[in-house]
Amino acid sequence: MDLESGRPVFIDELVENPMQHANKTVRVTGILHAYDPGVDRAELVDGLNLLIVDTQLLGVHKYNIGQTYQLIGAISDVHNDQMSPPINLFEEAQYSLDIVLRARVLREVDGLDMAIYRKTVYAMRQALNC
Amino acid sequence: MNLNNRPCMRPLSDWGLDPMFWTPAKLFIGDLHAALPSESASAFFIGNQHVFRSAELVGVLVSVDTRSSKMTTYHVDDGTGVILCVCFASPDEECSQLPYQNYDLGTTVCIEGRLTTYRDERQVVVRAMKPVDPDREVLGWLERLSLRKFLATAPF
Repeated sequence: MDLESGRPVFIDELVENPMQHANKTVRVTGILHAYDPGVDRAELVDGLNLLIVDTQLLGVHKYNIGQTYQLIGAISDVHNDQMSPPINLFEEAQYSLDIVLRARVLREVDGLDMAIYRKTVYAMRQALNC
Repeated sequence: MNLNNRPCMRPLSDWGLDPMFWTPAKLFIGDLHAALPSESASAFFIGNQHVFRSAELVGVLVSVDTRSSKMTTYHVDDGTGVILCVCFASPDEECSQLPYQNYDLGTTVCIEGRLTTYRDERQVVVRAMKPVDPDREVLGWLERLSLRKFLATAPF
């Protein structure tokens, strides 16, 4: 079985350059903003940035709005007309309708220190040149 | 930063003088895949001629496959690579009628085990495995970055 490793990225990076990460496996961390089981769609936020997640591959799971989750999956590019805009959207939110994260692994990371996590990921990228 | 792995030039009898030989090396999965195998022993070379046999890795379980009551295989992802980890049931667990404990997909785990190559694929034969909290994974990344710096510069 060939599984691609999920490179840690942040939602703001995905929103800024959506096509740069298309068809790549990533690991994304954020707070669950909304979840619609009818269409298997979740919205993950990090600060003012929002990412749309396809939860079809995750199976049955208890989703709690406001909880911090980390997801591993592939970024797929989609056409604008296929995607409806985020629900209950807050003002100044930044998002992209060009990409969706097709998550295959989910884990709860409540209590994770996001500031240290971000610094560590930057240090890893610098050291590993990736 | 590439570790520029080089094989150890010292005789086999000296390998035990490297502390890395006796401890589970805290390495990224990407580095475990890049380590050079030795021809004469079940050891691997990493960095500036360092020798190691076992490794400790921290990552997320991205696949769980219970093959039989005796063995479970996991794929672990730490952000730098994915590696197969093979976990055998202990004799007590084999005799027991109860299914032995498996971990769920998405669990963050710390695994210690022996690095081997099986059918041209790197794998870890698990010696110990425990779930850890997400902050422990971040701490693990920092520990591995620190060890990498040592391995790349300090020779054995």
